[in-house]
Amino acid sequence: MNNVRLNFHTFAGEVKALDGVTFMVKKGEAIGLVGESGCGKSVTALAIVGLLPENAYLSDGEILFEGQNLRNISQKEMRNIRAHKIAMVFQDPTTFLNPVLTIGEQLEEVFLLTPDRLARVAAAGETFEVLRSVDEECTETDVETGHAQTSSKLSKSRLKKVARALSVDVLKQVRLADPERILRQYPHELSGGMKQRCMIAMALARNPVLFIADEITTALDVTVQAQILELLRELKHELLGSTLLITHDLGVVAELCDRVAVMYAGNIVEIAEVNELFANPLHPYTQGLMRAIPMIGRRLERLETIPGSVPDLIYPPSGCRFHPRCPFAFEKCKVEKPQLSHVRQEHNAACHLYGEKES
Amino acid sequence: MKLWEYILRRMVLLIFVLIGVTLIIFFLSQVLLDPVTLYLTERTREEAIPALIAYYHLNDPWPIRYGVYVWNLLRGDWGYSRSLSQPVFVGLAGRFPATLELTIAATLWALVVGIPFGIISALRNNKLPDHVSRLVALTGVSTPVFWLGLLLQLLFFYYFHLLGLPNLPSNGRLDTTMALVHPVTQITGLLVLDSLITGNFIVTEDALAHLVLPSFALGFVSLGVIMRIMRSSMLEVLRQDYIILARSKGLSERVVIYRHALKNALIPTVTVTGLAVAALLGGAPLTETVFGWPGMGRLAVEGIGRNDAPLIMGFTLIAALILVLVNLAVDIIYAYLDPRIKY
Amino acid sequence: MATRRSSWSALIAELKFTGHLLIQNKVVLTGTMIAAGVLVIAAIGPFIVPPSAAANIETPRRLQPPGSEHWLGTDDYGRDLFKVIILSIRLDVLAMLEIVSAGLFIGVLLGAFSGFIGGKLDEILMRITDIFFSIPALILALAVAAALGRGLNNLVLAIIVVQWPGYTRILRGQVLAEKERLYVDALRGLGIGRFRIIIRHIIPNTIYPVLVQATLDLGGVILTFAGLSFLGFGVSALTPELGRLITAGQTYIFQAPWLVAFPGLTILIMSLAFNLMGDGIRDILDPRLRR
Repeated sequence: MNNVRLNFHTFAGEVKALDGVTFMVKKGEAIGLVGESGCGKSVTALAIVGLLPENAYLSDGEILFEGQNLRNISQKEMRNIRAHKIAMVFQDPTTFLNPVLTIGEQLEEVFLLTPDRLARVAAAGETFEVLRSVDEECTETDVETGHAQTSSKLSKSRLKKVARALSVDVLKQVRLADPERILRQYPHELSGGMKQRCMIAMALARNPVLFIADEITTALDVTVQAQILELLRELKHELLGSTLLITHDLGVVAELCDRVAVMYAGNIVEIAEVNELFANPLHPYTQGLMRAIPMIGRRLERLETIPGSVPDLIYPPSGCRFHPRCPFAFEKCKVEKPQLSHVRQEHNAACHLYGEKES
Repeated sequence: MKLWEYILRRMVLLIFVLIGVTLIIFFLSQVLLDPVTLYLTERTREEAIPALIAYYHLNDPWPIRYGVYVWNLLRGDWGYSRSLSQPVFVGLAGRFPATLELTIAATLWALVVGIPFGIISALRNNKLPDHVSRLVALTGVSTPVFWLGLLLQLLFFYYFHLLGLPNLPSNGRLDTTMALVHPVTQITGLLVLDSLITGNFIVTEDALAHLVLPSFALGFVSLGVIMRIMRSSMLEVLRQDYIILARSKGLSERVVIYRHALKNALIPTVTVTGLAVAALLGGAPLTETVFGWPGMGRLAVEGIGRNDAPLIMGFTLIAALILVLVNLAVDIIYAYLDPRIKY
Repeated sequence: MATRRSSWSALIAELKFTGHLLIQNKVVLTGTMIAAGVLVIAAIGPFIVPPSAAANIETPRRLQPPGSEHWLGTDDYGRDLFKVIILSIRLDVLAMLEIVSAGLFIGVLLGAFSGFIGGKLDEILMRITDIFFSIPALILALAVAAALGRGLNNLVLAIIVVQWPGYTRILRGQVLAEKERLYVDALRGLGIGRFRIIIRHIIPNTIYPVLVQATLDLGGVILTFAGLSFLGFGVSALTPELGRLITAGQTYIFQAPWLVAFPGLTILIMSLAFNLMGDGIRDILDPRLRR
């Protein structure tokens, strides 16, 4: 994302949710996007997949994916990308699954959106492994024109059978027992953890280039959270492309991510490789976050809070949006907004404390 | 519990409600009015009355009277209608298909027009179709159905005729000569259906023509209500999180609406349909009177003019029976649509 | 919510506030104004139009179309339709108000006591309301009216019978929630009798949704009343009443359509106005109903 500015029209005023967000997800990496509630993390993800509510509009910036600017493409192309390339898992599996459709129906429809893949899989054996290798071989052009080509070779019922078999298999991949039974069940018959695995399965089904997880553990019990994280860790190595992991929990980030971006009030204030960030938090906000959570290996100190509260995004503070709460703020902070700049190796921060060297 | 067990359980409850209904009607017809009148025919002689009283246990304490009353209801003895010179049950049964046809047609108007327009209103929220539907609904709920019927007759029958346009008939179910020239074999009693089955298409056309105006007038009120409820539940559903997930899968908007949203949105609509049918049944006497439709409602109304209380009570009982059955059907459909209902 | 001496004073204050809000929405405002106009006409009707206008029969003037002398034409008896309609409004409005207020009164009392005291009484009452809901409203009113006999009072009574169960249900539901509140225990602890608690505290705190429903019902009651009048219940033939005017006009519908059109239009406007007003009240009060 390059310099993305996103606003919401509301009755109360213009909510300046994203104020020049810039970051990059590298191929094959897992990057975490951390911040408090309301800092704009979910909105960033929704902007990428184009699922923003009606009153939102991008006033500036571009979202580049595989060479294309997602702002400029047609609805149809965007849907294509959602079906093949970018998959998102959401926070609350209870509200995000359709209560009147079975898990099977909701899972199979994902597969059925890509009949060309199914056709190839049908020939080679109907497991998820095969699907994965099919996808690896698959080229760009196939995806765009693929619908007409190979799908006509398979009948509808055959496609459904393949989709069914793949669904069973992908549920096994997310470590669910008795997948045939689950396919027949409705969401309300499953536990929170199971539902979340199903949602993850729906994302896996696409073997996406970009997998976005928006606070996927927040709505779950702590023990179940741990199980899902465990699952993600296993999957990370095997199957997923790049991952964008959105969370407010630094612990999750520490476990799963290669790089981390810290967000505050619509800005990325710091990006670094994960160990580096924990070792040397540069931005005062990040430092505040670190102090606010207990960590093994630190002396038992008082947990500190960051004074003040999250700013009103209709009338955000001038200059650096963090300056009212920053212990190190000086004159320049009120006036000029700091840009993300290179401070250390693979570690950028947006703060006037560190001068303005280009990253 | 399986679905049929649920149905069974609901039917038991249904029986209790019906018992209650019979109690009310019993009260009205046997306590407020002179009980003997229920069973008197025009040929009953003075001397025969004491025997009548004894037969129906009319002098016994009311629990026994009630028991006898219900027993007779079940046997088909719903009293005697002097204005018809027929037993009440026979008179009503004869007219039952006509009312059924009218009510079904009215319900079809309400659903077939109301549901799609409700969906459109939701999709074009706050634009022209939405405002139109709001206007229609509000007007529908405020319009006296008998007046609407009369106006429709005026316009589509009289003025169209004057203007030389093909007009819709305003009276009865068929042209008077039709029954003679093209007799219809009655299978279900629903003329449109029967004539279709027997291939008697001339009659079908005529029957339909006669059905249009009264069923529209009757259904107009419910049409508006169903439109609005469909609209609001559709809007509600489209705001839900699972719609976001559906879109994020890359599904086309059409699939999202018809596969994911619609089924959810129909649930409140189905419940309202039950209420709508109650309103339709209530409007039937008025509509049938205005259009000369030979149904039970009109029968009851004519009975009013002739002080034929047994007939009116019988009609009330059957209306309640129909409503209760319709509500049962609504509950079953509801349980079928929403898998979360535990039964 | 703090304990009050009596909750009625608070209710009055909220009603005033509601009236204030009612003025703001344009469509609702129009409806409310028309409704108010209707009420005014009902009140002053007999004073601006002499009742003789309905009683006198002048055959030479019968069945004249709308014109400068008779704005809405004349009917079969030579009566000026406009004047007769004005007079009829009073009757219909009074009937509507009587029906709804009586239904409210009965429904609220029954619902409050049933909900508060609970037990067998409550069970039985709920079954009874179930039964009433199983019979279509108009048909039940028809049956009751037939059983009671002709006459205006009997018709009003018949429709009241149909109205009260709805209010009982709503109020009972509210009371069930309300009686769990802390202040109720406090009042009981002070030794205040149940009757007093119900009347002075429970009812004013729970009556809101029922009042909203009642205003929504006004339009519908007009239709039911007019409909049954049309069928022959209620008033006698010459008495000015909107439904009955249509019955009379039916005979001449093709020659003198105004006899049917205008009374019916009046019914529609009245019902529409009260429905709009009721809708507006409901929309305004809706978020506040979640107490």
